[in-house]
Amino acid sequence: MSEWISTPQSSNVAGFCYDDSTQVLTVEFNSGTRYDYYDVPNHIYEGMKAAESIGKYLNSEIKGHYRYARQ
Amino acid sequence: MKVDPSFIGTVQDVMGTTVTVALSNETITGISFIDGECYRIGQVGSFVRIPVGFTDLYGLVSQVGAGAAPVSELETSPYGNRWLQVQLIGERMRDGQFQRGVSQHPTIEDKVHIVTEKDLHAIYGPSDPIDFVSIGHLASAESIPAYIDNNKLVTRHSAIVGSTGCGKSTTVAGLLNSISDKSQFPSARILVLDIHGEYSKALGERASIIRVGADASKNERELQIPFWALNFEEMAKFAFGSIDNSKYAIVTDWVMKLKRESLEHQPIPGIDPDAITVDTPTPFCLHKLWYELYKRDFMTIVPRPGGAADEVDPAYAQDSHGKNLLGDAMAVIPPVYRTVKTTGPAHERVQWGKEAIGIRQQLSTLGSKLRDPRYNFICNPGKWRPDIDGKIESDLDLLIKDWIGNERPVTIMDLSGIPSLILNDIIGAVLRIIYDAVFWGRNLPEGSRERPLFIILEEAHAYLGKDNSGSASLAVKRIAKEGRKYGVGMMVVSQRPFEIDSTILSQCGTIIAMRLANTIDRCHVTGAASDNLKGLFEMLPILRTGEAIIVGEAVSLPIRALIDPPDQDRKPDSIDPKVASHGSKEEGFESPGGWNQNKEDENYKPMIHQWRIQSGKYDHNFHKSIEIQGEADE
Repeated sequence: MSEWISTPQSSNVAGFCYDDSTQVLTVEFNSGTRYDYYDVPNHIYEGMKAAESIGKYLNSEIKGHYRYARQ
Repeated sequence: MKVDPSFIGTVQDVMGTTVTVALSNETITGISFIDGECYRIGQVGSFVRIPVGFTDLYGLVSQVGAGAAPVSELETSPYGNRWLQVQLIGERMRDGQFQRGVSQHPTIEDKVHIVTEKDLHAIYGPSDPIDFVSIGHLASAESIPAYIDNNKLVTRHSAIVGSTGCGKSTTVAGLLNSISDKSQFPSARILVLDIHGEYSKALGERASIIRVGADASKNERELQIPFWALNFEEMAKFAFGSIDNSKYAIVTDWVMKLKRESLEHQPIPGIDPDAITVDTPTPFCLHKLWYELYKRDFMTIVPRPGGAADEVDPAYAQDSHGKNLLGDAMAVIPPVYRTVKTTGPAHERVQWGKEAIGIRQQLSTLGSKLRDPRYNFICNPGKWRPDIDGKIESDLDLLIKDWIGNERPVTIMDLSGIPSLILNDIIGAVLRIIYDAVFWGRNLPEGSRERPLFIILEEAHAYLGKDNSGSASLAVKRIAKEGRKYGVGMMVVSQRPFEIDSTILSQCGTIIAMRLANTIDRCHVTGAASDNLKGLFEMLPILRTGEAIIVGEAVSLPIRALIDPPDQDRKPDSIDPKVASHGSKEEGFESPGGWNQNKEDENYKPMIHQWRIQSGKYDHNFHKSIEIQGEADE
């Protein structure tokens, strides 16, 4: 499990982390709700770390591509 | 020229506790400045002070304007109807404590003053800092904390009512956070009966969670309610449904017999097997009860070969190896008997057993419950499951300790996994078990007189209905009536107070009323309030979210307060789903779902799976493996 990355600069996402072994990307929204995205490859996570706008990246690259469930 | 800026008018009429005040013409601006603070004059719900000799009387403004004018006031005054109606509520000696009730009444032309923040501090300040906890602040003045008397809140029972979405759950969570603060109350003891599983997140580290289908990685514990801890009536209702009175006796005898048997196999020190009753919480084997009763009801018999005329044998059917199909009690496999045959030679005739009870349908109900995994928490309760001899691995002390004596101040009993059909009975049973335990242990340090117990009944209308004579209602009524003496308090939380039995609601000494739009509900709450300030409840429909009117024993006088919510990431799990999610494609959205976002690539298989296994916890790897399997098959 990678360390928790807080994203205070994002207007929607509070933070996220990634588990390499299970390929689960956990995203916490500003509402405090956490979601798990499954089968997310490592490069997407790296992309998210590097993304200028986390919200935009999440919306364009992750949402709709990977299955999610609320924690 | 007015001298004192806080002066607003004079008393013109006194009737009982109602005082009519004529506002002075200096107050036509509607505002007044005192010590640099701006006060609005004549706000409904605000306080006024009427000095009478050495005491100050305090009252609450309940009506303003034409309606408040005395009937004889016919001539029109130049500035409109400048009248206030005030309800007297209490008094304070100079430099003394504020107390409810008034020793004298004001008279005509007594001066009426606005109440400043300094006065409010004196009124609302905790009279004894040990009893009082701060739960938020006054709605009218943020600098003034709202205190409630913890002693009375807990032991004299309380109710939180409010429409859905008015912040009830958040308020409960905030309140629990305040009264379970480790530094102030290290031994707080609170049990939350959480029907929808909302609170685990809100209380975080403070709470330990007990639920069906516990997630051990989150430090949750499995909810187990051993059937033998129920009294006979509860047990019989769960196991058999309805049963005739005449057949009751036979079942009772069998339960007694099995309880005694169990005590012989595994004696409990100090308990005499001959002195127990059918309600004594000692173990017995429910599987064996089912098996034995099944045998009696379904048995067929054949004459014993070579025996006397009245000697008979059970007519077991045989499998292909010629073995009798005896069944297995613990595996809930019934014995199989040969069908009745009344023709042919005497020794071949098969007859019904002589002692059938006539509860076949009830027995098959019990059989299916014993097999149903949803009922495992009660029929096969882990360490508390008696074996065929009625021997158990651990006794009830560990169970009760789990419930009300664990290391954290709050225990959340998450009942969301319990079939709704038996929810009422289960809540009744849990409450009765706990109450019985702490009642009989009332002189011990573990008892609730020494360490009071506070039970939160969430969504209480679901099981405390008016025409609901279920066991939950009975247990709650008992706690409502006599719990105070033994230190068991409860807090009823409901969005539909009208549906709650008024006996229960009227026993609640403190009522925390949040926004309540429905008139019927409002009347019901008003009727139950033990306070004379019912006028305050007129404000219920216009309260803000998270705002509450607190009346009753736990507050020195009614408060309109904003209760401190828990931290942002500690909100209860009952936040409204987003239909329209805020955000944009460029900046992302505040949540992954919502109607304004593109549809996911949906798969309804997992949904049905969650339904079948009765759990909300999604296991992605499992579903992936099934998918791969499915593709391989094709």
